[in-house]
Amino acid sequence: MKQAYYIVSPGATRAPQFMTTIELNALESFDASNVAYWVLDGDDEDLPNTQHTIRASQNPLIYLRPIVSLVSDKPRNAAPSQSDRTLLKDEFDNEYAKKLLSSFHPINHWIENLPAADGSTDRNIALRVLRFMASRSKEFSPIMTSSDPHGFLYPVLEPLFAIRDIGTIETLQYLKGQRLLQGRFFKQAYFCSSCQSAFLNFEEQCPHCNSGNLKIDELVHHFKCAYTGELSEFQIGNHLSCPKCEQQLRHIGVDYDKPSIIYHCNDCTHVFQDPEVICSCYNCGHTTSPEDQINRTIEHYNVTSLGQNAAVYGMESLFSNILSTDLKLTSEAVFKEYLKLESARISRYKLSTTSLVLVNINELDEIYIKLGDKAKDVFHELSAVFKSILRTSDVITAINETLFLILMTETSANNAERALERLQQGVTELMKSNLDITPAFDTHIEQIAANMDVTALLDTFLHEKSHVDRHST
Amino acid sequence: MLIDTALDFIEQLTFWKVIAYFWPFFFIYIIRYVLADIIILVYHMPKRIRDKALRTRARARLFKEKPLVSVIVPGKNEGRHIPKLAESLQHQTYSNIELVIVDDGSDDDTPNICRKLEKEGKINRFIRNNVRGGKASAANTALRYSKGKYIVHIDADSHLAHDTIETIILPFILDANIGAVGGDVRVANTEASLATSLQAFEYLKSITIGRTVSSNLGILRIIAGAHGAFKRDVLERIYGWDVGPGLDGDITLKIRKLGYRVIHEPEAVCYTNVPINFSKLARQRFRWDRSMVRFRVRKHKDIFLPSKSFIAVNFISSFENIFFNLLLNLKWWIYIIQIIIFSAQWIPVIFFINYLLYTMANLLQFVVGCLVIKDKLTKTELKLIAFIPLMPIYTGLFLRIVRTYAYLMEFIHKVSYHDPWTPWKVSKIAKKEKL
Ligand SMILES: [Zn+2]
Ligand SMILES: [Zn+2]
Repeated sequence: MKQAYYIVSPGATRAPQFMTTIELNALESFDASNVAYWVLDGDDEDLPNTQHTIRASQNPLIYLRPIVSLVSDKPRNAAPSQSDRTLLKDEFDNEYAKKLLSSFHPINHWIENLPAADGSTDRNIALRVLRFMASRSKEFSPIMTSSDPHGFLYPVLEPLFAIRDIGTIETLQYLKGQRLLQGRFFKQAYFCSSCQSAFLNFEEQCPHCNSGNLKIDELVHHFKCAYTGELSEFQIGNHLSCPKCEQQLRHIGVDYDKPSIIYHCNDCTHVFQDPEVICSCYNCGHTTSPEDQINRTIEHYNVTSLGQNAAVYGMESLFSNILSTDLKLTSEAVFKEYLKLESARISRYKLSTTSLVLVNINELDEIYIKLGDKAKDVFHELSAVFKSILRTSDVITAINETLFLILMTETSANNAERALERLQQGVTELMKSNLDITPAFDTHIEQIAANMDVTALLDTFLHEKSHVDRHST
Repeated sequence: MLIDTALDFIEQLTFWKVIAYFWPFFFIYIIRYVLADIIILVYHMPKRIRDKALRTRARARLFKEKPLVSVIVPGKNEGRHIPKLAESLQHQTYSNIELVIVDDGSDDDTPNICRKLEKEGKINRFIRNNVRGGKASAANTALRYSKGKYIVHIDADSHLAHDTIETIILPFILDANIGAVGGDVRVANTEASLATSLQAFEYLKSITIGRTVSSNLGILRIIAGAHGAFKRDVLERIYGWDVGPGLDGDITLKIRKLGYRVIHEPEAVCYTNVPINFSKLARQRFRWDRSMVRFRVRKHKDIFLPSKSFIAVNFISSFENIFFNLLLNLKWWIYIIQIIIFSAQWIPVIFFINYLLYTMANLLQFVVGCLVIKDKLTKTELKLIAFIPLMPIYTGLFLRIVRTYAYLMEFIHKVSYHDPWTPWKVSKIAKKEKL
């Protein structure tokens, strides 16, 4: 029978009478298999640290468990809670504690189903985040905050990260890149290129003397007499009157308009329309033009079905992981370096041809979803198919779980075509006989030329693919 | 055959018959153009020689004081011409120049080109108006954001001779009562086609000679938008340019009304590109001609009706313009009808003799023109002599037909309110206000 545990930390008040307690520093050695959820003192100043200690555990039975924090008053400035639930101390009694057991049941059930629930450890931060998100099966939304220099927080996820850990946003983006998460647009934001802070000041400056002391006025054009001047010249009392013809201006767009905006520098008298924009960081003082700052899209995140499986069986059983051990799978960055060198070589000597093959195996992630842990075996066989076709001089990378780039050196488009056919044949045979799935392929072969833009190529490839997907469904 | 008829024709001529058959040439052409040539030969040229010492002293003063000269260039979709223009200003003999460009709602690459030049310091100020406001408001915006004591207004697609700025500013120093100076406009693409060569000859006649004469008579009525210099305080007193296609002449008249002299300076040269085929040329002239009627007759009625602003010379200046342009165009048709009705049997001969007379007059004009230009005369311009035989057909037939059509349209339909250059919002107001 599962039960709630009250965690006693140095700053915490006494536990409610009916609760079993455990010392915070005894947590790691504790057998947490019958914990339903943790209860913390929400008034404790040290609460964030206590929560982090729990979430930083490598034992899934500890760090994945729900956390309930108890507070005396509802906090007035409603800082979003980093716990699964925040309750008033007065309303949390034995009765309530039992009710929570059932409401946390789905999470605990998910935890028990982990193949590794036998006490193995989760070191990888990305896997831990993924597992945490999968166990909650809900969308994780960011909030804008001034309390964190990054400007955005995913409150419930924060305790998973140490202060100096790799950022939450980066981890989530990595998981999305692996197609384990899917994002939904929240906001675009700029971040300091030197310290990642979101607190940036954008200032318009005089292009001559870099002063920020500017006067900005609108240009007004009176149609009837063709006079143009600044709005302030037209203002008489609370109406606008033309200095040239002394007529009163009535309706913008009818008898006058405002064709542009004029800046005056109060320091050097320069007149201009195109101010320099300078962006400086509140946190580290780094000053640069806005284009040089980092622009990111902040998103709400959901776990994909591929992510659900990876969360359960671990990311080591993903196909790209197996490929990278069975085969020498290079990282995308290294692959792009190879490609650059190769295209430079080709364009210099103009003697040989090298082909770049893009191949997307549509149903590959379904294997994983269908077979779970057993997918590993199929993946090993698949990687053998890849191996049989590639030569040692070929370079391969996985963009995600289904999309692969292969650089076939000294290979004409025709020969690449043939290799690709054999690959398709092998994969189809394997998947047909083992799983009764006929996979669909999207392929593209590109002759390497000078200054190839592989990112653009990928974009068009993915774009066309999504087009086909939409038409076929 | 023609010769025989011609001899027969000449044989029966009497003095009165000569007048009757060729009155347009003797009474109008001779009076207007040949007399003009004489004015140049006996008045302008000797005066230039007499003033030589004065001019030298004025020039020394100009270079000592070095007042700032603002070159303003309003325009739409002219970005491609600007780099060359900016470059040419850097090679002027006069060096205290600022360049102010106003982009009147271009929808091409102009803003990018100009912003870049502004950053490089080749343009002093670039004002971009997202909404097109028309030529007058663009010029006024340029005026508003320029700082020079003198304003030189030029078209983006023109370029200046190396001493143009110095030469066009000089008259202001010579005579404080001068409010505006028109610069000479010549054709840059003379050798591009037959049409441009004929226009080059025409510009020589009507601008170089024509305006120099008007200027000497004190009745100059137009300062080309393509090339004109103004005193800043004068422009500010009249609050700059007014709406409408006739804005060049309009502003000249306003300056005269203030009591300032307006003169033409034939030695300040600006080269401009002209339409390279006859259909484009016809369209350009159609626009110019009908604007003449509109602003002359409708807007400055007060010049014909004596009033406070009435000054005799302004009346003559306007009258001269109306008379020669409007009535002479009418005269031409009267003449044709007269010949057809009364002298049908002599048509080929009369045509031929007229042709000879006009060709000879043109030759005289060419010689005088070359004298006025003097040291600024180029080889290309000298070669224009070959086109003299074609000029009677160009001015007598082509331009006249376009002009008649434009006047008719203007009088009947007031079409110029729909000038594509002026945005419809502005045209609508102009029409309502009977401008
Ligand atoms: Zn006005
Ligand atoms: Zn400044």
